[in-house]
Amino acid sequence: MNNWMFALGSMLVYLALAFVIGLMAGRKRSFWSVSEYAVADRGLGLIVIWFMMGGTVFSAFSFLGGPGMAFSQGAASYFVPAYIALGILPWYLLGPKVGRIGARKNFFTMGDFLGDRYQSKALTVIVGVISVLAFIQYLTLQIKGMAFIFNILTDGVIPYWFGALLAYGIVVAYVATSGVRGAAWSDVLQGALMLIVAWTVGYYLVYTLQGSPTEMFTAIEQAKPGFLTIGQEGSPMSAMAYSTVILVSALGFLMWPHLFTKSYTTTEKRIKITTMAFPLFGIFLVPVLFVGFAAIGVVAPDALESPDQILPHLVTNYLGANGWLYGLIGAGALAAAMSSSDAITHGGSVSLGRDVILPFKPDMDERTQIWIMRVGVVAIGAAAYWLSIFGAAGIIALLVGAYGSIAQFVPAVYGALIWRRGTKQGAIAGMVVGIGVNYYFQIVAESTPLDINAGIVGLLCNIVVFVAVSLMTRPVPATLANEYADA
Amino acid sequence: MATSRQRKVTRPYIIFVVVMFLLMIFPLYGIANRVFPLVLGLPFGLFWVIFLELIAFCALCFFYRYEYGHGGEHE
Repeated sequence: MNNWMFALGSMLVYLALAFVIGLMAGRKRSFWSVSEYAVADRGLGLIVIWFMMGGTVFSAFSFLGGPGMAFSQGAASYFVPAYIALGILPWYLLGPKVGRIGARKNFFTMGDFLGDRYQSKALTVIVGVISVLAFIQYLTLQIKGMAFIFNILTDGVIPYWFGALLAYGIVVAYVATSGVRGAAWSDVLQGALMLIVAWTVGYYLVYTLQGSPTEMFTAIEQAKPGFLTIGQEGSPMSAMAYSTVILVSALGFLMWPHLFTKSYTTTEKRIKITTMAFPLFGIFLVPVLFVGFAAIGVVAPDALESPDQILPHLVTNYLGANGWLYGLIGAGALAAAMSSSDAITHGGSVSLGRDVILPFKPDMDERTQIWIMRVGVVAIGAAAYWLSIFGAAGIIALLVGAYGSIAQFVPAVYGALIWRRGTKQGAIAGMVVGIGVNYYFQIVAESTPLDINAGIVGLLCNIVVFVAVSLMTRPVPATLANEYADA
Repeated sequence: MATSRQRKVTRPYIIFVVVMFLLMIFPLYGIANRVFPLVLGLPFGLFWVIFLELIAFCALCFFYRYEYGHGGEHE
């Protein structure tokens, strides 16, 4: 039996399992309740929430982008475990506040939250539209990852378009039918699987190709001095670029609108326990970087079309005859990509229904809302699928690009919770300026001042405009502002 | 409404978060920005990140225990 058959077989078994678990999760629950679909009637268990959050962190990035970054940019890749640990920390204080307000006022999304605090439907719609776009961008990356894994591990037997369709189609099916519960339960399976795979494969590759981690890093330092440090001669990244990419990613981390939606699904105490787990997720990612480091000195950089291909390249060229390992890696990588896709697809459909469409027709009944969200899953899915098959961009550029825009919600969100004087004009103006500046530096300009990350430049402009415009406009009623600031 | 213990935690917690951020970025990260000594097989710069993550985990456990660990359920 060929390796690719093993790989295909185990990936299909895995897909079938994920599908069944996802569908079963929604059984005997109300199919027609927005609250059940969006926030599982606010009653998900701790382990499930934990895996759902962790699953979102371990995306296609873990198996493709992460190793690729370690391989091509060395120490710059440390930013990944660093921002994951830092990003969640403020949530310990903010999460319970957001959860309390959300439960009291019956919110489902971040758009609900900001729209109510700033008394502005326009703000809800802006946040909704940007979230949906960022979600699609992010999904595109996951789908590309899935298609790529399928294609390369089956020796091209499964074409690119079909692998993507198969894996992502399953996600769309269980999210549309079972809502957040489907996403959460399948993440438990996916999370466990990809953790096992990441650690096994990471260490296996290091010991097979390089002897041991100590020998490996010593050899890298000798062959490429400066590669394992930041901002020195031979380093892949400047100190400023490294520091600001950590800052923008960490700040943006909390702004993913589905985090808000998840905080409404649970209790305060659970939000805090979830926060505790995140620094550990960062540690779990380390073997993923090992995969990339193990390839240094073994694979010539120009042997690859893009650094993202390093893991599949190692598997197909250096692991030789072991078909089981093939299958395991295939299933693990699919799991990583799918567990992010389901949460994001779900979040996108809720944002689309609640933030983008509902404000235009506020008297819509619940049944119509639920249909819009379910149709939204398919629509968002189709858009992301189309982009991933026909669009082109590097995986990491996409991720950082999406983060850039999302991070521009920071002033408005923090402002809502700590600054009573923030107004809707201020929040909207700040956001528009921030996103504009971010896009200018990411797409139009060649470089940024002092090598500062584009998202941070946008954020600085955003804050200045937010504060200045807020002070010039009429504040929201004091009782409302206090309700948010004192929650 | 937050409980009194939660209020007391707020300020120390903010300080903790700010310190964690500062230790991860330059200039303070400069202390750890080196390859040797290798710790547990990891370059020192990477070990530093992992080490801080462990610290963060312990600190969070500590904060959580302070708020909820004394018998009463505050949900």
